[in-house]
Amino acid sequence: MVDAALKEVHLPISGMTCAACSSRIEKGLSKLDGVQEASVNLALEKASIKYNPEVTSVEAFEKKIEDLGYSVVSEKAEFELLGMTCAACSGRIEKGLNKLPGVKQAVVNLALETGTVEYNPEQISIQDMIMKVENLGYQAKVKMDKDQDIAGYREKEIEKQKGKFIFSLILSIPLFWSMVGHFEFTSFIYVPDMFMNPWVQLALAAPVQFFIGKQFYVGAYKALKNKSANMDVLVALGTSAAFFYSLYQSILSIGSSAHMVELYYETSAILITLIILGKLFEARAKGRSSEAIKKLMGLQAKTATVLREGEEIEIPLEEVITGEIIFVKPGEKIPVDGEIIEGQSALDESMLTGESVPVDKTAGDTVIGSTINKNGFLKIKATKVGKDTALSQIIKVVEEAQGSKAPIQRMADRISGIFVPIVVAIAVVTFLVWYIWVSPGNFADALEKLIAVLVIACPCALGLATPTSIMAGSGRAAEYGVLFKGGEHLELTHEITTVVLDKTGTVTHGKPVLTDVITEGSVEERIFLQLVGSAEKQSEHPLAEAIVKGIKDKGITLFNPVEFEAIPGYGIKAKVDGKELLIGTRRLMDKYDVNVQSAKLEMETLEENGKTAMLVAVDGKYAGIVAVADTIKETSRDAINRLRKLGIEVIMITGDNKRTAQAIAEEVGIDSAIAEVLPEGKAEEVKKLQNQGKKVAMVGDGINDAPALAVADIGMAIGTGTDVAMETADITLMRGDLNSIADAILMSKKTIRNIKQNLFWAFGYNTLGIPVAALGFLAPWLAGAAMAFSSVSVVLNALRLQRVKIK
Amino acid sequence: MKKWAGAAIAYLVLVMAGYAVYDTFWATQEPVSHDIEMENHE
Repeated sequence: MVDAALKEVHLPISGMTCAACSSRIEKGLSKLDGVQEASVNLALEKASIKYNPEVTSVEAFEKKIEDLGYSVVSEKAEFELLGMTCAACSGRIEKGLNKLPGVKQAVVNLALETGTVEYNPEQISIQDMIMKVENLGYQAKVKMDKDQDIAGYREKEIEKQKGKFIFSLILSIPLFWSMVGHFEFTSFIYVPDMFMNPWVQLALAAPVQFFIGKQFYVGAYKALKNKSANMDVLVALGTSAAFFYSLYQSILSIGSSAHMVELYYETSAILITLIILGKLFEARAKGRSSEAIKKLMGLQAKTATVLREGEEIEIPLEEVITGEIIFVKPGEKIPVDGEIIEGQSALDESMLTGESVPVDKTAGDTVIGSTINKNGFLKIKATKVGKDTALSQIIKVVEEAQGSKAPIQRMADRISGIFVPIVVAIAVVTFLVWYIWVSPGNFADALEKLIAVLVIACPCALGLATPTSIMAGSGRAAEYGVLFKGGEHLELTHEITTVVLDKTGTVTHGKPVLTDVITEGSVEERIFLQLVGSAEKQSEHPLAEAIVKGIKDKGITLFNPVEFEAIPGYGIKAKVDGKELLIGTRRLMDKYDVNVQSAKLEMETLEENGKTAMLVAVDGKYAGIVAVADTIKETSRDAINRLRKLGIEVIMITGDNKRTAQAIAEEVGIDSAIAEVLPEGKAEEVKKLQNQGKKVAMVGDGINDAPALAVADIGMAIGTGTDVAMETADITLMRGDLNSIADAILMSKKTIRNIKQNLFWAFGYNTLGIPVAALGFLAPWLAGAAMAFSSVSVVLNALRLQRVKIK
Repeated sequence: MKKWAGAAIAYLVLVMAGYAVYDTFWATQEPVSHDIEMENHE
């Protein structure tokens, strides 16, 4: 969790090509004063920085990133501004907006009555800007510029790369054709003289080398300027070696027979074409790995009907303000989180909770944005808008998990950081060995080996192996209702050996219901229940609420008690309809000298069945028992069985007495139950298990289990994805169903296996590829194709996680 | 994307036309030997 004095910011970055780039930015940012932690995710193209706002600022980070040769991508929003009368007004709005944290630049046009704001969406929302304008005394309406948002920026980038690929492909085909003529086995293919001419080849290769390949030169220059090396350095070195050697040969050939020179123009052009193709595939696959987020965002309503100045008007969702009255017709989505002030309806909350049965809601109940209003007309007061809504919080958790680094990745990052200089050294040694010993004096031959080594060794696959799997894995998990808070939790969850389940609200529904009514002798049940219900009516205890609800459901009308006294730890004392009532434990009866000997056996039987029994005395005489029990979730038994099949030990922890705990544990198939544990003792119990060498996951409802959730290796909050639960736990299980625990463990296992496959492939590919290229078994263009293929294959393997089935 | 393809094709045609002009007016009439080039690469 972030320290109170520290702030966290996420900045989208463009221009990174490989893991060396991301680790360079990470190092650069970490060195800044006031930065506690900086982490850069290559796959998400995002930097996450924890910093002390008194020492440094976001502007300093942006400057550092730009100094390192990359840029921070910002979003642009356009507003229609109403109420401006003169230049002073526009100046005021401009100044006000520019002062907001996260706003890079705000420009207001008085004549057009518009404002354009360049901002970082991670720091500030559109609502914040609208609020600011309104606070200044004007009105703002949003005009979102779709092309300027980050998704649009990525799309544009992909389109540009596609164009570049087509361009270099068209110019590389004739060069490839000329190469075909070089090999004996393809020498039967006709090659026009034109394509064998060194100057024609130069004319075709030069635009690919310097126009299309400019990005590699720029990248390499920036990297070298900052005393580091990345993939661009390798590509620029490899292709330049081929190109300039050919150019040198072409110049030498002037005046001699043009067809006798050794040229490698095709090598450089084809290499660049293939690398661009690889990058294109990679960018597309990366785009697909954030599909989970897109799906979640797609759940949001686009507009809301609000009451403004006595009129119902439809406005974009971004403009809804807290406290506003919203109308939701049947079939429509609830636009933001709020409270029903009028109407009743059944709400489909399955998208957030996984619960397929619609939930009945009426005035006073809270509603969650993006859920569907099934059948009634609702009037809602907005309580949370924009980035504060439950759905936005969920999106934030998923995004953060996707952007966070798993410990396994740190190793890959360290390796790829030192990889490039090592590869350059190996390439030079290869060149010298070939030039001096293997094929003495044959410069062209040695150069070819050098290029192949430089190209095959690009650590792109290594840099992508972990983040793409984490992105796809955590995205898929979110679709199953499992929200991992970070990559490290996704990695750790597969090591869990023991799952500790809190009883109330986890194994059970957490809502007790009236189960048994036993009356003594001639006492009539209906009258007995009327007295009990009327007495308990004043109590706020959850068990009393369950009793009152159970009695009301039987159609019994209740009175108001004349006197009422709650005796904590004992029960209640009340006067109803002229009768003195005592309802509570054995101790309460002992206190008032009520003989309950005849109820002893019945009490024990009820408790053995997992029920909480309360004795009732009327006018100092024992009159009967009412028992309540928390009902077990329908899915608990199957889910626990699934965990046991996975070889995981399942333990239940509860504050109930041993008999009740044992009864419930047996009913759901749990072997071991730790009973009579106070909320603060739960953490102790978890520690004891950890001391036995177990990796413990604690599952609770996230509020009273917070200490235990924090102590456990993995804390899982079970609930509907609301703020408290999500803050405390490492994993939030949005579906209140224990099956999600097995889902989380399986998803973690599958993701880790996928990461290992990727790392194995990426490492293996580089360690095998370099000697093969150094020994001369790999033509440079083949090395280029293999390199492009390796990155693409790693990303495609990670994408398999998006379709993985864990049931 | 069409723009990029169009530009590449136009450039290719220009290079080919340039070579054709050169070949017609200035090139020395030497027989072409693919074999020598092939040997070099082998």
